[in-house]
Amino acid sequence: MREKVTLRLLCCCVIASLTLHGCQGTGGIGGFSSGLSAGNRSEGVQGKFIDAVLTDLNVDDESLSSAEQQAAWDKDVGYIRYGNKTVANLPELQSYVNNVLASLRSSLPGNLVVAKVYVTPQKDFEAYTLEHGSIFISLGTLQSLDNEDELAALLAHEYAHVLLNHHSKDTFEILTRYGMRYANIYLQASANSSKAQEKRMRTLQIANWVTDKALFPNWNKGQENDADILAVDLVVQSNYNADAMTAMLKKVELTVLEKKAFVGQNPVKVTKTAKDQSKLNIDLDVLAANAVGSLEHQLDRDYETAKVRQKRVRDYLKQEYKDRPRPEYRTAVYLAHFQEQATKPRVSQYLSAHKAEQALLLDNQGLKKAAPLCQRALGGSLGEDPYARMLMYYIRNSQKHADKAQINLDKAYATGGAPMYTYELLVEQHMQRKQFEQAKVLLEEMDTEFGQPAEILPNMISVQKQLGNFTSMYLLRCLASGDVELIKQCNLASKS
Amino acid sequence: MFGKQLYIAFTVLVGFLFVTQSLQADSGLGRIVSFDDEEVEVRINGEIDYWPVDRLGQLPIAILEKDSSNFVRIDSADNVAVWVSLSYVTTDHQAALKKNCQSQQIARSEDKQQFGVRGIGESCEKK
Repeated sequence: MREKVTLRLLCCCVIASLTLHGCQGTGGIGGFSSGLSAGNRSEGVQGKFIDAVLTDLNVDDESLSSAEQQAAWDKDVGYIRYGNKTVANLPELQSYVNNVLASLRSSLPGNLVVAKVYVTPQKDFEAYTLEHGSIFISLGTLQSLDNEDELAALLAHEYAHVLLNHHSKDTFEILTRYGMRYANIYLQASANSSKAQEKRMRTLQIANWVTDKALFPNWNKGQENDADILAVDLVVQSNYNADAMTAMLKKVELTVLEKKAFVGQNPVKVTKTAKDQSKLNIDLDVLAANAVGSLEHQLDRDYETAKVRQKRVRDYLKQEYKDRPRPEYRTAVYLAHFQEQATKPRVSQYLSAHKAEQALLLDNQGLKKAAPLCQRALGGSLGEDPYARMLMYYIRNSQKHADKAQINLDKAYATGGAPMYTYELLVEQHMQRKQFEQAKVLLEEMDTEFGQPAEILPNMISVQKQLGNFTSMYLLRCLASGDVELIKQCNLASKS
Repeated sequence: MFGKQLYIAFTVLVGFLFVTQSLQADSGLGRIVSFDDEEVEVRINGEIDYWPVDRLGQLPIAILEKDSSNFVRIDSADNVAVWVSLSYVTTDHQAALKKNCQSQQIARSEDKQQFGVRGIGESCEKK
């Protein structure tokens, strides 16, 4: 009894300390007054919003060295890999996108806040900003934009989140969302059942969106409004055509509609298996249903919000920039970057992987079509790309070609940039083969690469116990997570 | 005899009108199918103005020309050539994309071929 009380007290202390830590600004790009992050500040502002923002900016004298800054960005990259995404091998395109961001930043006085854009290989329309000022934009997004002005609008919106210091407010939210992560793991596990392949892929797609919503910044309405309005200022000041803001928001509206339709027409039904029940002692059906229900609810909200955001942008432009120059859209220069010698074949390979994914999603003969498409994606310079490798792993696994699947899994891991799912699968394999030393090495690597993810702790405890090592440190970390289900699993692992 | 000539002339005239109307309506640039606001940003003689939507005419409105800075030219209700900002309207092209996005998942197995090629992430792309 006394032990239980002590445990609870310890738990409360740790959660309290995490809460306090989470609400503080983060070191990387700090230096703004905390009021900026609240959201909806643009609502009552007279005149241009950027003027109010610049007045509130408190320049941080202790800026990071470039090495420290890169280390901070690397942490963000680790975070997206934790969210089962990767960075694309498109250095020239990424450099161009960063140049567009630089021209937006140059419209600000001084050199206030740095940020870096990474291109991810995903086909979905998505862009997000993480804690240390990294902006991630998918190849699918770049493909669906029509000109540099739309790219500038999108980047300006994401960069506005950085400028407005929105990330600090979300830190704690991210820390408390591990439950969603379990929903995703479960959905992925259940997808390995004997269901039809296309159905499995659809379930995985929805599971990925659930994770995205859970793990990546989901700003509140006020924050989105502020970012839109500040983005308009940045776009106009950088001599881009600000109408690209509404054009870009129309694309957001379409994307949300697309996801809504997909989720609505592919209801996720989960069935517990004996193995899942013993491993995760929670009602997974309820958890998964809640996760998907929450996704549907968020998509409904996003769809309505997308229309309201367009109206708000139009009104602001009319009010503050009625007589602005309306330059021609920079279409040719934008498209030319996809045709560059180094970029074109790589983009083509990624698009081939997208088509493979597409075939898996929507085609009865998907597996047959996907295999050669993905093979094409793996040729040439993309041979060791973790995104394409993991897709091929999925295809080979579905085809029951275990050896070929294993080759792809190993090669994905060897890239050094694989998503966390790759590591999870390898750990699982080692544990099944009772190769605890190898499992330990991988788990330790995951601990470093992915910023000490809490969900690896049950396996870590189990492996350390098998190797006769101390587990108390990991048990304490489990308690610190404040996640009741995780604590249960850690307890189970320590007793096993 | 005169009746036959009249019939031929009438048929030719109807055919001509039909073709020109179709060409105008389907110039490849599409039509405006809805307004996104109560008033619309327009450009006349290089000047920006804001017009109530009823001044533009009945929907759908054929797009006659497109420029590179987000404006399309139409003939307004009182037959004035006016440039309309695309930020304020939805074109049938955009509406079709929305419809595709909505309908792709309703597709049954027999029409999968038709919808299957434009799935999630691709159906709404422009290129």
